Amino acid sequence: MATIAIELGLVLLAMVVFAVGLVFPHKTSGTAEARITLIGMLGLLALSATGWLPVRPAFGGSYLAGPVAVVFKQLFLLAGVLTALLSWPNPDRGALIPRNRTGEYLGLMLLSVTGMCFLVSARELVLLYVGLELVTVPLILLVALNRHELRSVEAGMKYVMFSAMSSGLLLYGLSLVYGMTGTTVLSAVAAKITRTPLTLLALVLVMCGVGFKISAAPFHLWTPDTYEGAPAPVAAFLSVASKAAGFALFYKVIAEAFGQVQGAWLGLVAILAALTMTFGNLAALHQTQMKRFLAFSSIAQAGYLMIGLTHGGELGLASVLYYLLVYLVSNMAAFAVVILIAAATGKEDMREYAGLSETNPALAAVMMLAMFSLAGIPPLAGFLGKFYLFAAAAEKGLYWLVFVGAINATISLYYYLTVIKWMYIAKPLNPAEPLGWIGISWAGGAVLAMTAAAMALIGILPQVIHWTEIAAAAGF
Amino acid sequence: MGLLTAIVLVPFLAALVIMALPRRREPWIKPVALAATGINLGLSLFLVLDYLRAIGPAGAPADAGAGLRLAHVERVPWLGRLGIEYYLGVDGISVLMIFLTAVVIFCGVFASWGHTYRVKEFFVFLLLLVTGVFGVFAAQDLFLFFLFYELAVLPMYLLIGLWGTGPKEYAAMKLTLMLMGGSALIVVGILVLYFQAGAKTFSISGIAQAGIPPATQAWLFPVMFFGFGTLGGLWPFHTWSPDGHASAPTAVSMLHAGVLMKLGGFGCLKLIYLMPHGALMWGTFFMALTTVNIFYGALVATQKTDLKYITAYSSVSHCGLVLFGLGALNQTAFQGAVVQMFAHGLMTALFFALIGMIYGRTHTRFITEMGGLLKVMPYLGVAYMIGGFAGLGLPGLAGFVAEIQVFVGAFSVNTPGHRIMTLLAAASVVTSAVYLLRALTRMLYGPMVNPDHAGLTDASFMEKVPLAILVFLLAFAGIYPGWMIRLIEYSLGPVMVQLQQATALPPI
Repeated sequence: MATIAIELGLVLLAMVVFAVGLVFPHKTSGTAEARITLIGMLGLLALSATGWLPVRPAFGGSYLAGPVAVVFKQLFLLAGVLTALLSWPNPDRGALIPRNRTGEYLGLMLLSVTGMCFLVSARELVLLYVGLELVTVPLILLVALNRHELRSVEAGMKYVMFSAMSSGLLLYGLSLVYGMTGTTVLSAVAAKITRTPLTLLALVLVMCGVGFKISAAPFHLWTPDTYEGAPAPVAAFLSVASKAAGFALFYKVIAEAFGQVQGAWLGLVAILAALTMTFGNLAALHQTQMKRFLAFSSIAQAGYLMIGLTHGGELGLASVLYYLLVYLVSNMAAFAVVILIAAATGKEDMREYAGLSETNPALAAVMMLAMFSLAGIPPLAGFLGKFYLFAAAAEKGLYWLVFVGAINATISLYYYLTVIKWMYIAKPLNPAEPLGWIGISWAGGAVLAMTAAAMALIGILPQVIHWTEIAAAAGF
Repeated sequence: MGLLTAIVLVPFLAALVIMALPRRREPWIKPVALAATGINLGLSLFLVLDYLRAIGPAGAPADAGAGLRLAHVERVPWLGRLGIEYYLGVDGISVLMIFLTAVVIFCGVFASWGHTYRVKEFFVFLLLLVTGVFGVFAAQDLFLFFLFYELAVLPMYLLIGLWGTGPKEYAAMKLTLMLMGGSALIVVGILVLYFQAGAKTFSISGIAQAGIPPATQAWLFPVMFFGFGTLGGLWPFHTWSPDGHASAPTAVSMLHAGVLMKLGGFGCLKLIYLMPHGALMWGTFFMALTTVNIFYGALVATQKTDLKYITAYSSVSHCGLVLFGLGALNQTAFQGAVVQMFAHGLMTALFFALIGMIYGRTHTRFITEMGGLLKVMPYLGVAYMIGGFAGLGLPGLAGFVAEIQVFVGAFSVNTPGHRIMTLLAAASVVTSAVYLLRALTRMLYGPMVNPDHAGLTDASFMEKVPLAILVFLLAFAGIYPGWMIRLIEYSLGPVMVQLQQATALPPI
């Protein structure tokens, strides 16, 4: 029981949150559900941080939550906490999530986090696949949450099609793996796999499935439309939690299952990394719709993260874990500002942010920090994060990839600076309709404060990088 | 907390204090900035004197080895298992550069006394920028070095974009992206150095002593030299400089052209120390490029009529001289290059300060629209003249000490190529005289072109202070350069040892 306490707690929370909405269908304002979710997730986060939970195999060896899995779970929970805060029901101002559907929304998010937690702890392909579906199905519903809005439905539809196809490919690949090795246990698969043409086919199929989750080129096509159409808090959750889950999936089904044939996939991952960041960056250059812009930026960020995957060892894993945390707080900070502005004014275009630094200096400052952190400017967290990813590739002698990454960081600076330009330098396009002062709720303020502090500190405090290094050394 | 940490932290803390000041305390912002930069000026002056005292009259022992001769070392392990350290320390060259930075920013705060538009943010960003610059000169760990190096980019975009003039958004973006492109090369280089040395340290002297395989140096040296060279104004990657410096507000132009461009030369000198084989292979190639720099910059400057562009292109020319001296790879030329960094820093800061003040009065920067200004503003005019004379290398001013050593050093290399390049570079002094004297005569002498200018006032007290400091230092370093030479000579020892060891080995 105690072994899977986190997952059990999450399922329980989801049930409670659903039940509140069912029992009091007309009385609820959504606040009760949000409180339960927030307190529950913070409790689980604290519980996992204490380290009291036993590290024992469960379900006949198909489940084990080692140190790396715990780090991943904490990232998922943190993303969940921030998302819950960002979608806090607000009686005074407009909200991006309809208030009467808050319970539904939070419950689905909790279920998705549950799936992620199972996914990272799975030692066996069937449980892993079940976990993955538990991640994806609630996400589809979340994307299409505003079911009367055409864009939201369209986004949901695209997400369904792409995820169904990629799940199919992944499943096909996994079944080939089973056919070749006769087992679904990851460690046994890893021991038996050899380099044959069939292995390569399986590898490519599995890679397609993983590529979809982390929105790596050329499987990224769903990302911009889905982010743009989905409610902004859902897009935020998708961009960090779901992506982190995708990287966990990579470590399970590729790095571990195909561990013996590293030579077959390291080069492929390096090429995909270069493609992904280059494409993401070039496509982001001319975006002005913030959610779409952040979607392309998140594709580019996935490319940087994939640089860490090419290491295939401890340093690579540590750098990926660290960068996931950095990316999580930075992207959440950016989304927080987008969400707060969109909820208050309905404006989601960066050109409409002109003059923000004078009317809302706090929002502009957090956005600036987020942009600089994502671009990797010191002393913000993104700098050390990128440096570590590059170091991982350099240790393997992939200097060309480091170079591509560094050049891409420069290109990305252009569009991150463009956002800053609109906020700080540009004059409002339509002076008659300026962006007025925007009140920040306590929940929004908490997200802004937490993420800003995190961006400023985790790049210079040695404890954080140490934490991921220790976990990476101990393994999944 | 050590002295160097204090120097890095003072401007940073001042920035935080200014950020925290409430709106009604706005008049305190400038005094706080002035106090912080004043403290740093004092601390860095102490640093210079202390280092001079430490050298003593005897200088370095003959067999002091290739370890950098550092003072005020602070070294603690910092981040992660790669061995990133918080490692500060200074040798004589860094001491000189820190002093230069402190002087320029102190004068820069004076020169920005008249700012009224978004004062708070301006000084916060300016102080953050200078934190980065102090850090670069003090850092002895390559990661820390690179961190501070990029930290200087963060505020630069906004400083130019918000408070600049002319096509400022374009200039700010161009400057930022080109410099970041350069630093993309540097970050690759740092990682290659780290893994090729295999010493599990980012410490500069640790990596140099572990040694980089000559085959790696052969390709890595030019890559990194282009990286640092971009910031140092190396042709053909100098194009950010004229636009950026022309658009930037006064204090930022002073700091950027005066100090930041020196980071390029400073970094290149570190490269020579780290990769002597690469330096021996590529030195002549880069000398050829910088000959173009020197000549091209000076020629373009003769064609410009905007004072800021004239100064910016003369910076390209003069900073080319720094890299030219480094490419010659001998002690005399190195000394000249470092003195040139110092002299040019003072000189450009003086020019940009003056241009800001003159523009504030005449509202034009075109020399064709000015004339006879010496009659109404003698103080500013004379200061401009002294700056101009330093620029064309008149004996008695710091520029001469630099140029003569660079040319002598470069000419002493006995190959036809070096001789021709030195002759060409030295000929550019004539071109410098053309554009400097042309600007001086047009602007200061002759009849008053614009009758409105007759009523203009001369420098106020707050304007006189920075000009006096800069002019004094230019003259002091020109008349009594001994202290600088001692600092530089002593600290070049390890670089020369590295080069000699590399020469002794057979080429690959």
